[in-house]
Amino acid sequence: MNGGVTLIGGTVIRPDTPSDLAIDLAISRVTVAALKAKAHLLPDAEDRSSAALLRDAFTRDLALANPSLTPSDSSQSGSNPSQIQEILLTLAPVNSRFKKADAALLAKLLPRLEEISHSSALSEEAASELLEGLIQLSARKDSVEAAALPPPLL
Amino acid sequence: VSDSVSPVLLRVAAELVARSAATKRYLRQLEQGERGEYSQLIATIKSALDRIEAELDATVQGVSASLQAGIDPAQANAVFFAFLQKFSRWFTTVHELLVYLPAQSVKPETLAVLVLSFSDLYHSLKPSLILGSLFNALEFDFQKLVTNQLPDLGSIVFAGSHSIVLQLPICDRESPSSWSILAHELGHAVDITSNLSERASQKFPGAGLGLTVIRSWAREISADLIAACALGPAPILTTISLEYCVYPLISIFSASATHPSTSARLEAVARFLMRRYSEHHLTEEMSLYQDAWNSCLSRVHPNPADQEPFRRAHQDQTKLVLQIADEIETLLEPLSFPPHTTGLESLNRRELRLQQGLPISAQGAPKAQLRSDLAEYTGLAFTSSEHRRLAFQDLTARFKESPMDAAAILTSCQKRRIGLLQDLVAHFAVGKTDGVASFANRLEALEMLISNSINASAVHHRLISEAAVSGIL
Repeated sequence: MNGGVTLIGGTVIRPDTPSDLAIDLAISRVTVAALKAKAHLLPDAEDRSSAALLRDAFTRDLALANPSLTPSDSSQSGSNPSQIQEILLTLAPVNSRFKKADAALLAKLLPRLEEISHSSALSEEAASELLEGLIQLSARKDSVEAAALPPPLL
Repeated sequence: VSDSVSPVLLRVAAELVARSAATKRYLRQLEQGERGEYSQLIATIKSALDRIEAELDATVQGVSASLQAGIDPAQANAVFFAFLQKFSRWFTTVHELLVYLPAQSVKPETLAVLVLSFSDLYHSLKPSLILGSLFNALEFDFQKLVTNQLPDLGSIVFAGSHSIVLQLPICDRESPSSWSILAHELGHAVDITSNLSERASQKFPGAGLGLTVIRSWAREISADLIAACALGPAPILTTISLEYCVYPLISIFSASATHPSTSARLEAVARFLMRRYSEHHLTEEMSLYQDAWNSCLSRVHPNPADQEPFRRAHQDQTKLVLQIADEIETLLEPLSFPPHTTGLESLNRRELRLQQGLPISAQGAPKAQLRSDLAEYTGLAFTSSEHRRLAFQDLTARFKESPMDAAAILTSCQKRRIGLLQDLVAHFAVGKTDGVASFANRLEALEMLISNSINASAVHHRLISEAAVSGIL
């Protein structure tokens, strides 16, 4: 363990963060919730908790994509802040679930996720924005991961 | 609602549920023989499958509710497709995790399918059958593989002989409905030893890459047609079933340098079965696959003008595939395969038996014909007791059942499986997911019935040939 972070198979994993598969499922669930919101249907409890999970994960991803140290971080570790900042910058590409270009999209989706996680009925425009954003995000993520899959040859 | 959800996506969902159920059956089999050392791995893999199935539940219900509330069907289908991408990726990833569990051999019935359907060709090649964690079926020459890695060994030990290995995806171990894919793989080995595709490709002028592509395509078409000779429409139906499971992750509208498009292969096999066996079991599935082809193209290239070049290329490629198939068909004549039991009446009776939960290892004459034979016998006037004895002997012979061939068993199995998938699709189409458990149970019962039918038919065939050799028959 190193500051609550473990390196497994080239991937940095924090024990308090949800796995990629959990994020995958949450994206799926909230995409359906956004579709329902467009049809003026309210989110259920599972939709709300998935939206909250996604909100927290995206917030962390955004922080990792643009790392900065708070004073308490550096005083606790006793290290040189600029040295840690440098290390964080090298971690960012492997830590982020999405490409850096997705940061703007994640930031745009955060307020919508916040609304759904509190059981708010989204406006049709907000629901469309969330729906399209999540499908877009999902497609980019899938295209990166699917590249590793073998072609279906028989 | 049912008209608004894409039938292709519903079918993909049902196929993924079927493969997930097959994987769980495999895990259950493993659990029975182990002493607890793998229980955590098994539980983890099973929970991953349960979790994604639960998500399917939420997605189907959410999409259905949204459609009922008036959402644009295109948007609903886009959400459903995005979920299926995940399901597909989860499934293929989970399947690769099966490698961490103890290795199993294929079932004896799997081997029996190839023995029954390839007969002498099987015995001349004696392939080894293995299970692999890659969600795909493969054929390779083990000796080539070894001598590529240890070149010096080739000159000492193997001296040009073959050691054919056929690989089945692990999840299909307990699913006879998927075993027919091995006929395509064994078809590759038969093709190489008979030099079919090589001879067929010589009829097509070309050089460089063009020639390489023709040769590769000819190899695939040859394996497809050989598989059709052995097992009828079952192998190509299994190919489609496998492809639907990865449909959300791939593009199916264009051919590759190694493989013609599945759509063209399907057409070549359908035409071949029609010509050779008067079988037309692929019509309905071809229609759904065409929809899948069209929706894949529309998804990747939404603008109709952009689709046009792909449609034209596909037409040209299909024409070429059919020409290659024509050449191969003429070369297939000398190869000998056990006959197929064809005929709609026979197929319908087998389907009815499967619906009733009965095995289909053997079949006799239709009941109506037997009743009429019996009536005719009872109406006969006998001139002597010897005459009566001979007539009775003739009558009882008509009641004999013959063992079913593997092509008939697996074609019926595929038909019934598609029926079960369609039932599940109909549930999904109206937003119901409570049919999943019952679908898994019915599919398991079907696979067990088929496995037992293959076993009984293999024994029946063996006893008949032994009796023939010993002069009893």
